[in-house]
Amino acid sequence: MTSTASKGSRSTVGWWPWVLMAVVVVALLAVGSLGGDPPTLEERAQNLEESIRCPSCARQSVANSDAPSAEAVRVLISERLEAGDSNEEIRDYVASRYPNGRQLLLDPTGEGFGALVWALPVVAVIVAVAALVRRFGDWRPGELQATEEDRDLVAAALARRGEAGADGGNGPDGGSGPYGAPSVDAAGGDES
Amino acid sequence: MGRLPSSRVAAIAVGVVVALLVVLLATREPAADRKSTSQLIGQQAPAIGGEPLLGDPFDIGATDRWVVVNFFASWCVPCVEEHPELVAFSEEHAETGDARVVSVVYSDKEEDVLDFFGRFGGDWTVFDSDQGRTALDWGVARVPESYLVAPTGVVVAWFVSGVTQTELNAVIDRYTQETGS
Repeated sequence: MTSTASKGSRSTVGWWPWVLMAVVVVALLAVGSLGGDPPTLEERAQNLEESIRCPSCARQSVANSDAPSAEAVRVLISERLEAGDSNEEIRDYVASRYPNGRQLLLDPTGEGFGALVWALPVVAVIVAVAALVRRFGDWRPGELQATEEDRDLVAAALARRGEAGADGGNGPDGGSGPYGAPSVDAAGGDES
Repeated sequence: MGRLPSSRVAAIAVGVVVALLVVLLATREPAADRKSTSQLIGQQAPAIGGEPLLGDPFDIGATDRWVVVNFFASWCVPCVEEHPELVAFSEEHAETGDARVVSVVYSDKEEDVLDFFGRFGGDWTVFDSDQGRTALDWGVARVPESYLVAPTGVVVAWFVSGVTQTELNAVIDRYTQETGS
């Protein structure tokens, strides 16, 4: 088997696990996000209560507050849900009532400046993966196989070093290594 | 080669993004400067739901008078403090018939409300809180809050933490002069 053939088969095989992994991830995400029963009205109410700040509180959500204004929002949410309003319509209504009402929405909306909060992590992940692929795309551990040419080069280099050692003086790093010639040198170096 | 190394490109890209963010944040209107005003100013007054605890039923959409809509609770000290002002305003305009007051209870018990009006006076319509829904529709988060509604049904002024007879009359006078009516 020549090195070219080995490289070709490796790169063909090399992509399959990635494709398979991508398919599995996409399938699992699809099942996780689309599957299951639609949320009940109580679940939607709970989610909404957690995503809207109590109008008279500094930080608590409507779900966590006993303030009258929070109670009013809870009543509104259940009324509006039963009337068939969407989550976003209810959030918009509450926000439209109060001064600086958008600040009552604890989840940033997906529009305007708030969209950055959702978009930036996705962009960061894509950039990071792209950078990793770019950096390590060509890297194949074990793919490098020494050719006869390489061995000749190494042998020549070792031979040169051996001569230098014999000519006198220990090389600065002329010591370690499992190779025949330098190890003699190393023994000499240790004595001095 | 003439090509920048990819690490340099990445560093420049990150730098550009950070610089853009800084510019974006620095040029936004500071949160502290954002004007905190009622969303209702200039809008048609929302309906007042709930049942009257005191006084006659009253439809805010069907009146040709100025209306002060006062949100209050008997447990709220500033509400007790502003109440004589509302009583004075109400009595002053009862003679001319050009303005009236209505109150909306904010998270309070009926007997406490009746006791409040028994002690401090005021003979205008008082609506129950309707589970806070009226306050929510008007955007009331704390009491006392009062809204001045023009005879056209449009909300023209918003008063938080107390209102005086003088303030109410000043707004009415200014508005009347401006519109010449």
